[in-house]
Amino acid sequence: MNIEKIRKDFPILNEKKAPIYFDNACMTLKPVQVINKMNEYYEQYPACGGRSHHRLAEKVTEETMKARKEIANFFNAKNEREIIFTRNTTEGINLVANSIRWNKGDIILTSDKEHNSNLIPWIVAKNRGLRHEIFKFNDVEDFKKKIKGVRLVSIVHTSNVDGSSNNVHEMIKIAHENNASVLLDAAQSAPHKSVDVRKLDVDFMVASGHKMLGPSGMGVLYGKMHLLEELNQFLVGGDTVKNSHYHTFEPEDIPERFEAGLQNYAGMIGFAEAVRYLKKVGLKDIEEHELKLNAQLTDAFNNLGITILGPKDPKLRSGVVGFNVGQMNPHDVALMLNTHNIMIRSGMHCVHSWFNAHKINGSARASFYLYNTSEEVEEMIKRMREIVKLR
Amino acid sequence: MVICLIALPIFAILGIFSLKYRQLAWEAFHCLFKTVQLKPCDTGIDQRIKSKYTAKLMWWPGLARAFYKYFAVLSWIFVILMLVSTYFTGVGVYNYEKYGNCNGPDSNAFCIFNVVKPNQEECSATGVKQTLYPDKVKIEGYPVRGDPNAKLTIVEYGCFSCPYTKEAEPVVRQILQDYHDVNLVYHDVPLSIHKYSIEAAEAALCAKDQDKYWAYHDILFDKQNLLNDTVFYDFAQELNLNVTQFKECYSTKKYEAEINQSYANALDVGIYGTPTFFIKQANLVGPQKYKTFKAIIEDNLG
Ligand SMILES: Cc1ncc(COP(=O)(O)O)c(C=O)c1O
Repeated sequence: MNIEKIRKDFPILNEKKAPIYFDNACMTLKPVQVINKMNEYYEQYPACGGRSHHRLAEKVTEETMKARKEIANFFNAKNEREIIFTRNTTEGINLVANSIRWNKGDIILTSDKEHNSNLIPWIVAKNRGLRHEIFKFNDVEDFKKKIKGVRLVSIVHTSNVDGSSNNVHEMIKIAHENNASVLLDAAQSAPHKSVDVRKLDVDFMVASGHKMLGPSGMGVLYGKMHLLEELNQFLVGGDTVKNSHYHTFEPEDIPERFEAGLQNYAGMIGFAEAVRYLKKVGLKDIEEHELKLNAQLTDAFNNLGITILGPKDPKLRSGVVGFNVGQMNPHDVALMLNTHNIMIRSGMHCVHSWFNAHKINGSARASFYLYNTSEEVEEMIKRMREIVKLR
Repeated sequence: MVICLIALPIFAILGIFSLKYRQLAWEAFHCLFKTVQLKPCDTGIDQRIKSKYTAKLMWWPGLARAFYKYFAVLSWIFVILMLVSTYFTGVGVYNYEKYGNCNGPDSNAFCIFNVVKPNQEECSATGVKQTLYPDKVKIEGYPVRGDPNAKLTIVEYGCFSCPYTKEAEPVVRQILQDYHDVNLVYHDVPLSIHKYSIEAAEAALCAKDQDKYWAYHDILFDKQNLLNDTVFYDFAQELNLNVTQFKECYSTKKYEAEINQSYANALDVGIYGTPTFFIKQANLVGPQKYKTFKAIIEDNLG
């Protein structure tokens, strides 16, 4: 993996004052390939897909079909029709939450370290007579205890707080043994390691394109075909029906049935280009590279007495280092690093529930990606050495 | 956090020009509002300010640490300093509006507003501003205009060929017309940088011999642009003076000694430019607005 070459693909990293960008768990930078591919849509065939019968529309349809295929391949889905485009992970989860034909009293099981995107929809669902249970993150024993009678397990794969992962292989197996379906929030795993939906045998999977080099506001929902067929339609209207009368309608095929209205075609095409880019570099190498950077920062932090959230072993924390400098306000740390052009995130990272339960007042978080370098990590360490003196 | 009290006016002003600062001003306002209610500020603007400057101080860890730790105290100090300086700025603006000098009527110390928008222009006598000594001002023996027994005297150090002294004339005349309790004593300071200044001074005193000093004084200013070698006789004629007597006085430099004396007194007083006015301890350099004289006169007349 040639980082110098990779960095050349990212316009912002070639600017005079290139940022040291460590907020990849929130949103990643975009390579020129993705930008160009999206521009290609806007410049050459900025029309609507599916509906019209002219050269431009046909081109849009063809390109979006290719995009869907590319993304299906990336996640090793059996059929590209199992890929539904969304705006983001959040929308994917909401779509599932609002489309399953629930029965009153159905139980949804989540971990205790879920992003608000995988918590709020289930709190809201209680209004419809559904129940929401919580197990301890990555605790298979606790999971086993709670799985009885559960209809849907909705769990985060890799946590955006500390980079640790749920043992999803095991959990999916156990869930299926107990007749529960599993929705996997792969927002933080899909960008960094192979998420093979068939090998995992996961029922639904959601991810965000913008966290994996793709355009912002572009996401994906995967669902096993037979499960998608059982879903109600949530957002309905244009493009979700084949035919309609004043009082009835005939649903469109899957996946278009779930993609209401005209779509973000440039986004779809750009997203596909992003996964093409990731595939070319190789997720294995990307993961290895991030773990190396994580180990480097972890070592330094241990020496500086900075508290790291989650497991001690950096290998268990993907490309994420969640940390706190004593009692110092994490926003202060982020703001100070920002004055040195180092960008990290601070706060509760949309996982307020976990922070509140653990009485932790937020954290700072550095998260890496393929274009980050050891020198950048070194620069952050240098600045952190100054910051710890403020304690 | 009280720091927002400082941030608010700064951002509010910048906010006139930019949306970004309008947002910051709003945050500062919100923050201040919370502070007044003794609640923590939740827009984070104070935190941003604190962290930014701590980071900039990092080359001196001790200082950065102190700044970071005592930011709340420091911001209180800043706020108090700001309030104090706002008060003094307010006083300065008031003085400037009223007396044309932000340090008050009795001072001729540096006033920033005069640099920004100079209103105290004068004909330079010494080339440098210096301290004035109103106590050394002499009145006896110098021409008086108005009631000799008036309660208040304006002493003017002027020069007949100085355009700024001319510029000051209409206001001075108006003041004398409006305030019968005020008279004017005029000192001539013939500045060598202006042509005919000495000649004009002599001519005026020669007119005094024939009790036409003030008429001649006025014509010198009114027709300042006409000054030349022979015009002084024309003025004498115009004022119906005895021209022969005038010529005799003028050509023999009868008042040379008086003029030198007047000049010497001006140097004693510290006059560095004309016109300079004294009204008791108050001093004004350069042409002034009517309301400036008015304010000082009314302060003194009570
Ligand atoms: C674990 C996890 N789930 C869900 C989300 C929500 O992603 P999005 O905002 O793209 O919908 C995020 C993003 O921060 C995340 O990290």
